Amino acid sequence: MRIEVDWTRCDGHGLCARLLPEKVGLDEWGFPVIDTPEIGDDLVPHARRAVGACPALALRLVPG
Amino acid sequence: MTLWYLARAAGLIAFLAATGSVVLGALASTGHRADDRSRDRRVLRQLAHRSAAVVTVAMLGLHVVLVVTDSFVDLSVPGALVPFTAGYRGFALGLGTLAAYSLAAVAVSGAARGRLAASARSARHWRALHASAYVVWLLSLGHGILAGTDTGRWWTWVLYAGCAAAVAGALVARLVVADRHESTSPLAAARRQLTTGGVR
Repeated sequence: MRIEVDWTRCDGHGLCARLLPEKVGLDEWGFPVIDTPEIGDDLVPHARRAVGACPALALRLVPG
Repeated sequence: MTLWYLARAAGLIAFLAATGSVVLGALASTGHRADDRSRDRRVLRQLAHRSAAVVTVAMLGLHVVLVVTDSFVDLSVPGALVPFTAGYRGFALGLGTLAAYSLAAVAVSGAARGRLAASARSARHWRALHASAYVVWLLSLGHGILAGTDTGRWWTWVLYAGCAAAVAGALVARLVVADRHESTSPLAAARRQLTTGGVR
């Protein structure tokens, strides 16, 4: 699995970085910075939680 | 008679939980300060919003089952399922039936939130669908006032007025915050520039 940010919708709320700190960091304006988007099996539940919490529905979990 | 009292209690608790869920849902989109503590508080408001919604659905299910099984009022299963056909307080119960159906749609959209984010098209409709929760709340308020056996006692007016004030307050807070975010966020400003040429 991989996480993707839809940049047309992301508003820099920053909740994803609180729920998935292993993968998501924030730049100085609060927008997510993701170095390695691949999500291991152990992190999938946390990634799903982050996807569900995004206020802008801008985060998604895609296969591959 | 015990079932009848339980049915009324379940209805009132469902309305209180629905109020809590609507208020927390509206407040979940407030708090745009960019520090970790306010982000964590938003996550907690989301969790509390979802928990209150689960309690609402459970209590509503109990309310419907008890009202139909109880023999004090003569309410049949079709009368409960088809709006405005109930033999007992038909209009008021119809509002309740409509509220239950719309709540089901809102609850499913809430549960499927993460899945709907997967495609850009469905994500756009999600907010409009989920915002019908405000209509559900209004329908259930009307149902409670018109059908409620306790309506007219002083504490029901305190309860309904308190809940209405809470929902109105949360809605105002949400709109005020959204407006402020819209006018200060650099990204929102840039989007406005692109889509409307700077005209608001």
